[in-house]
Amino acid sequence: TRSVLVKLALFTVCLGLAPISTYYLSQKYLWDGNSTYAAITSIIAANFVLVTYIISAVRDDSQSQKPAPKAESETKKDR
Amino acid sequence: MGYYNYYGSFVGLLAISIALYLLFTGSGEAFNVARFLEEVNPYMWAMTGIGLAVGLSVLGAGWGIFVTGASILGGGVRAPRIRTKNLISIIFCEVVAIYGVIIAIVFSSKIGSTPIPENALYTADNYYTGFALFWGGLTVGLCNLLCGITVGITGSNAALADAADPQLFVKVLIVEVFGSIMGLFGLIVGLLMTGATQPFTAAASVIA
Repeated sequence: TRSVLVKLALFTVCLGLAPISTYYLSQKYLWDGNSTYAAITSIIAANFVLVTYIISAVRDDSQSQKPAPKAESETKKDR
Repeated sequence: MGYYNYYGSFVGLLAISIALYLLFTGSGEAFNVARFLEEVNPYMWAMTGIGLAVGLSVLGAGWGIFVTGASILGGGVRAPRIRTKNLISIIFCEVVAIYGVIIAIVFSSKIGSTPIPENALYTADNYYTGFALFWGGLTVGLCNLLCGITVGITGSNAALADAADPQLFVKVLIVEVFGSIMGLFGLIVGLLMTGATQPFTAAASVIA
């Protein structure tokens, strides 16, 4: 569970850093000072981090549940 | 109920007696809503809007996280497998707070670095910016407040449903996604309201 906490802390920091840095960088380099487009870009970045976290959490969970059914099927073959 | 009625009616009586006193002593025009809207400094409106945007968003996110966190911790006693997957609900609540912070950053870029003296401040553009920032901030704050509470309560019940039956979690997650879209709505409307505002600029001709 330590790796889970580390991953959560890492994603929280990303969720804080990514939108704000995307806002400032895209405002300066992409949208020529327009703050509304920069805010929309940073919202897309925040949702991207969110979806990445969901996918990795679901994948971790299905990985930690797969070895248990596999061990059961081996014991049934041994009989 | 009787407790609140006692103090509520006392406050109401005080307000009515003050109003009647002012009316009967000839200064009834003190209740001037238009003068209030015109005389309050636009900076005050703008700062209050920014504070409400981030404050109410964090209030909603915090409320959601504490409700969900309590359920995850309680349910994790008997069913430890729910602990990792249900952190998704916590991240949904956190995103609501991030929306509030982004709006506060966007709005605070309209304030400008040098304060404008009052004899050059009250232009139509500055009034527009002040009002738009206040009501945009209030819109975003209230939407994120209720979105955070929604995602929190849904997430807490998702944790308990997951503890009982693991197949339910993905279905309850769909409800949470719909709930978190509401925060996005508030943010979009807040950006629309303040999209056309200019930063605070001094008037061309100064009123002495």
